[in-house]
Amino acid sequence: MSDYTLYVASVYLLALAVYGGYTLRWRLAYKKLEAQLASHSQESA
Amino acid sequence: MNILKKIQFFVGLATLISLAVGLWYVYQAPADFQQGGAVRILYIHVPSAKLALLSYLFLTVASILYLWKRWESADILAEAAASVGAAFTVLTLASGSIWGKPMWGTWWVWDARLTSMLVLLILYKGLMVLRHSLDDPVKGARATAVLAIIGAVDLPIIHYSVVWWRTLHQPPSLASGENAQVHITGPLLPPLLILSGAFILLGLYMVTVKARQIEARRRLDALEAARMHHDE
Amino acid sequence: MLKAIYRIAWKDVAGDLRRRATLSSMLFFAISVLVVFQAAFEPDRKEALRLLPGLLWATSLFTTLVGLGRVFQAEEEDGAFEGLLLASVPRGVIFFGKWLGNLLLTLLVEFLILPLTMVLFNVDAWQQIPMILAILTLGTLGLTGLGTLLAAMTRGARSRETLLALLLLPLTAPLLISGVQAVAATLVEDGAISPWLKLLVIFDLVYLAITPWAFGWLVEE
Repeated sequence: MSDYTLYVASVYLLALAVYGGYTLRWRLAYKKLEAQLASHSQESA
Repeated sequence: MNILKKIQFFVGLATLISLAVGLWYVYQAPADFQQGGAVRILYIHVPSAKLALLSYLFLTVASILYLWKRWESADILAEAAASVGAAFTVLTLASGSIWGKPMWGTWWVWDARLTSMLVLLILYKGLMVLRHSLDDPVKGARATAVLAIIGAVDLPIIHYSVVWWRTLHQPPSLASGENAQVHITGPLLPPLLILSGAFILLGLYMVTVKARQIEARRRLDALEAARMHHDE
Repeated sequence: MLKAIYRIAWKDVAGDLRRRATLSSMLFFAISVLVVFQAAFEPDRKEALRLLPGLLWATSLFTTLVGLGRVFQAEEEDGAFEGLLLASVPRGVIFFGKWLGNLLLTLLVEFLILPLTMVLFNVDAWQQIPMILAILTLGTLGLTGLGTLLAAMTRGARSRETLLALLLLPLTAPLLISGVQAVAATLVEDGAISPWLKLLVIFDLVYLAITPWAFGWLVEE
């Protein structure tokens, strides 16, 4: 490995943070919404 | 929604496998004789740039379908594609800058590709902001779809006007000179191809995740609106 | 049909000239932008000549935003926009009427800004004024076309002025590039102006062809 290691590593970590981060965030938001929807339908039942 | 859940599962699995294979090839690939190890940045940068544009294409098609057929699912996919596309564009710009610093000596050059990418990012942001600043969701959806089409017309004009500008007005910069043309051949090619495929799957997966979130959000909003109406 | 376009436009322009509401705020906004540029760059005479194309276009672009914020304001206040849509004229005609009204006001302001800029920045390019005005007009055709569509798009939006700027400025990048280069070409000897005029014409044609349709999709029920 040459002295570009820092540049290369930062790009791969950034990709993980952006793509992984957003996907995780959207999944969690979905789970939360589903829970809210479930409690709604329980109330009305 | 069960079908979407199944699709999501299999696309997610395929994404993980192809990303793992691609990254293994990246690890195995030799360093470029000109760029050294920095060429490994391009394995993320190039597929990200492809997906940033591909997401816009997807968004445009979904917007046209929504305006034409009034399918709400097309609108949900368009909204999801804007968020996903913005993520890919951010990473394209960031990784391009990080690659440019050791290769060109600067973080940023105003060449056609970088300028278009920057405009693309603002456009994605504009689409997201426009949708949520109109109170009526149908008006918001329609305005967003129209803006998406206007943007699709504008992006090529922007690209070619900057190319023109650079060739007619400015001396060839580092970015448009011969030495900056990136040729990836031979043993460097397989990881790029595999990762490009993996990123298409990743984009699809992210769109399904985002679309399900949006769909749940809309169901909840409708439920709450109905309840408020009921209480009155 | 032309008569309907003219009547919609004239209603806006005449109404505004009577109240001088939009026109004077655009003009004073433009002057304050020029003051900001002067304070920010403090150009000497030679620098001012180099900066002139950019100053003119940047000032025009910002000033257009002020005018665009008000294109549909009169109708919004008394709810007359829905009435206008109910009138038995095609959507494209309503769009062109609104566009023409905005175009005339914007051009008027630009024509006033140009000599003002030359005076305030001590630029001696009085011979080139007709050519520069022609370039400004050419660019403003497409600029106000796109702008009127975006104004219709952000009608009723929260913090619409900011939104309008966010949407309009990046989309006008080709216009800004070609407009600035065209004006710059008039200020130097044997400057190549025709490619930039071509680009401006392309921009105008594309936007004036697509925006009336887009306006139709936008307001369709």
